[in-house]
Amino acid sequence: MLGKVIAIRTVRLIATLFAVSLLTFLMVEQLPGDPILAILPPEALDDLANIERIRKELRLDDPVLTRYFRWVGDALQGDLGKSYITDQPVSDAIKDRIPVTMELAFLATLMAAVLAIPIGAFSAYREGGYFDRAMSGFTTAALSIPGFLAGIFFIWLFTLKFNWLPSTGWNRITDKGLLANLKTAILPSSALALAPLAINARLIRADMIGTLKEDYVLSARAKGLRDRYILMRHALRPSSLTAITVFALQLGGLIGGTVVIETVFALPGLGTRLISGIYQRDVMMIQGITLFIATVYVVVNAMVDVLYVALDPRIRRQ
Amino acid sequence: MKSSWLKIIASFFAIALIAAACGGSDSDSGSSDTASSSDTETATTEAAEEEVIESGTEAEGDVDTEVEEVVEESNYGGDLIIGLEAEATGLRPWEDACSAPCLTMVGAVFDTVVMLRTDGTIGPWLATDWSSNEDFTEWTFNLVEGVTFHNGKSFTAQTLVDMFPMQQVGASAAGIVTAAGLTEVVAVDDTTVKYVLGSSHSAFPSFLVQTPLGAAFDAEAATADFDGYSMNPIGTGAFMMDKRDLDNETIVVRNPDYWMSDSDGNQLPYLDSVTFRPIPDEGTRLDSLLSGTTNAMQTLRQGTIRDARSSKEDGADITLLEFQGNNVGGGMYNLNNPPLDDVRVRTGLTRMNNQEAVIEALGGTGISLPGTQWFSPDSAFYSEKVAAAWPSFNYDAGKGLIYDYINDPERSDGREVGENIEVELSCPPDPTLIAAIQVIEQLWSSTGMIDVNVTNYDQQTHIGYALGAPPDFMGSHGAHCWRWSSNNDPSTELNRQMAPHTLGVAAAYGLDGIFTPTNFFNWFDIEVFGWLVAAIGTENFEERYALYEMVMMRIARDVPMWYSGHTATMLAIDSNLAGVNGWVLPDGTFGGQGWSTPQLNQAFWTN
Repeated sequence: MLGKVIAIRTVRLIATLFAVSLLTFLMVEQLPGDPILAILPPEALDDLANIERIRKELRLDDPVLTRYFRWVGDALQGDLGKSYITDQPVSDAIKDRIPVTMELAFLATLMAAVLAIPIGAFSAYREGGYFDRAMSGFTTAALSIPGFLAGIFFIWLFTLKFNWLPSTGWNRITDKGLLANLKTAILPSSALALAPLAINARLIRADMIGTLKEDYVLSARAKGLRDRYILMRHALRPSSLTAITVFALQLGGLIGGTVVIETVFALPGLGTRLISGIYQRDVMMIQGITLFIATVYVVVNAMVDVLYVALDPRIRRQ
Repeated sequence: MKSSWLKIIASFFAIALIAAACGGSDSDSGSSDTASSSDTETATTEAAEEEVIESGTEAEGDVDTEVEEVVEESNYGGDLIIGLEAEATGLRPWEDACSAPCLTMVGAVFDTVVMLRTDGTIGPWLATDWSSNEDFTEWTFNLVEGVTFHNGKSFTAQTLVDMFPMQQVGASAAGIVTAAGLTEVVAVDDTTVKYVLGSSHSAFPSFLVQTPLGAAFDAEAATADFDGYSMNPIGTGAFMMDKRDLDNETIVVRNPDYWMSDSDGNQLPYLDSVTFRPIPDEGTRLDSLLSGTTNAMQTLRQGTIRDARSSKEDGADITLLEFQGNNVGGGMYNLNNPPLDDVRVRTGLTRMNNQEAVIEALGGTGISLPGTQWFSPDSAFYSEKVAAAWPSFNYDAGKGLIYDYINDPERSDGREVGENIEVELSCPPDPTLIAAIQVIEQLWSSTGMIDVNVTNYDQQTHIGYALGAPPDFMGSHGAHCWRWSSNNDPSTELNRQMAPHTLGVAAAYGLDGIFTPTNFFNWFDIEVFGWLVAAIGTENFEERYALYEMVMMRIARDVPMWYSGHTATMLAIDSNLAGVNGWVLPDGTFGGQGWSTPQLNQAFWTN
């Protein structure tokens, strides 16, 4: 059963990635203007021979489909091409930046999970109480405020007012250690965590309210078990399946979602590179990073689906 | 139960913030504290005597370019962190396109053959002096002795010869080689180099100010590792590449063997290291400076200049160095696109363009000067006559011209008499630019005679529309936001942009093969072309001034473009930092680009 699910998911995954790669390629292709113009400064455009030389070097005169299949063929062998603008291999650019983006996404997911579980569980436990209402207001606000605005607010508060944390820059763990790294990661990942935190807290609250009304919870209470024990052992565990699914999906989504936050905090992640690639009309970089992000998202989705089947006997039976 | 949960949540926040706040402190390591800890070697420079260079005519709202050098006791040591508006796409001078942020990095690592002075003339740098033959087709430069690259190799005349083949095919340099008409570089001896041109150019040294042609690089190392040179460039500059972490930070460290000294013989540079941080968001970049995350920042946005001024008024401990050079914003008309081929329409649209309101929308009131020509009032080439001739704001006069056109049976757009004209007005999607074109759109639309189609495309698309596609490069734009001019010699931009825009036009005027895709207006005037050619056939300033004045007068008459304001740029720095502006050239004169590009080889912390 599980093997069949994996096989079906794999076929879907390949079809999705093929569609993503083709759409990305065609969309970038449809952008007006000549990629050569992005490579050369205006003063270099007077030299037509130079323009033609570069065009030939990059094989831009080949038909669209020829270029697409060449790119896909190379990509399947791990070669995503070279940036037209910087000459850097796209795979190197991704390799350099993915630790930053992954760390931000991971920290944001972790924060969202660690905070959402107690907030959601306690809100459900005290449904309609002060804490529940306060958290309802907080989650509404967190969902309403765009991440970049929260980021700007955090910079104002923690950098300009208190001067506790730097507003920009990224300390790599490998260069400067974990604490220095956290110092640069905490604000952007907090800004990034707000929306998932709110969603997760609401989701857990809703699930828990339902669970707390189950007969076995009433039975546990009747036995005189402590509230904390009932919440953690009897109520939270049945709700964890939904939470795990959502956390995993959010992790995939956040990798693409860091784009704006990375720009606000000037962080050297995939999002920053993608944005600058778009501004510079760096065709290979746009295609490569988009394909990579799509791959991560689709693979994580597929893994969650498989995990779901593995964890829930009811779905397996279906 | 309730308090337990609250404790857990509060503890998590507290631990996270404390851990973060107590972590490594590299981000502020470039502060003045570091500088003061290593000022055991102290040198005094007297060359940088207080001097204010004034030229041109003062105008209302003029923001003088800061060129005065404060007399301070210079110190060795310290680190500097600069917030730049973007990452450099590459650091190979001959290959990579380079704008203001990139030039800041390139200027730290590379030296150019000559340097622009604040008054727009050319001063010495790697070359001590130069001369030309009578017809300006051969230029001989004498070079400084004892200069070495960061890898220990000597810089000689042969270096410049070896660079030339790479420059001829370099993505960035090839166009400049063509524009300069440079055909050969010859090493006369170790310290003498001769540049041979295919045609006269009296302002040829101005091309050597530009990094694609003028920056000295090690051609052998560049050939051996063409791609790698972008990440590990080897120049003769004051700083050597230490770490290049793209989109995060680029660190350069002091070159202990730098060839240049201050006027007291103290070896430059003073700083131990410089860190460049790309911070694209304008607000975050300013906040980073105000919080001490960085020590300096550059901006090309008038809104940021206004915010920085406001922060300073509120007590921020920063110094603002504002620059306003020749670069001027505005827009251009595509003469291939009726009705913009008719001078009545172009003049009418321009006269209805309220410059002051546009500058206000751009956030430049009191910061940016209204433009009337390619030269700012501080430029030696500025002309009052042109300023008076420029079709300034007169709504009714402009409306009258449009009325004449739409009621002309011979109108060029093929529409019926009395029918509205249609104009596409396009700017990149920058908020201030959008605000500015909304002002123009409202003025034009309110006549009831103009259907304005406002469009916004990203920068590259915007450029692409103006440039068009090979082989004709005609462009499909209408009224199109643009910028022109620089503080370099006028010939470096004007001759290129006012050459024939198609091979057919060139042939029609007997100028076979002389063609440029960067004549974005698609406007060609054989007299203007002749004046521009004449201006590079003489080095007499009065003659050149008169010729460029004639060119500007013709632009004021035919109006292929409109102006908003001259581009104000700014370096905002920690008030303990000095020496980043008004730097001293080897001959004691002051250098400067008129742009927010600091020269870091003379920067120092004052405490």
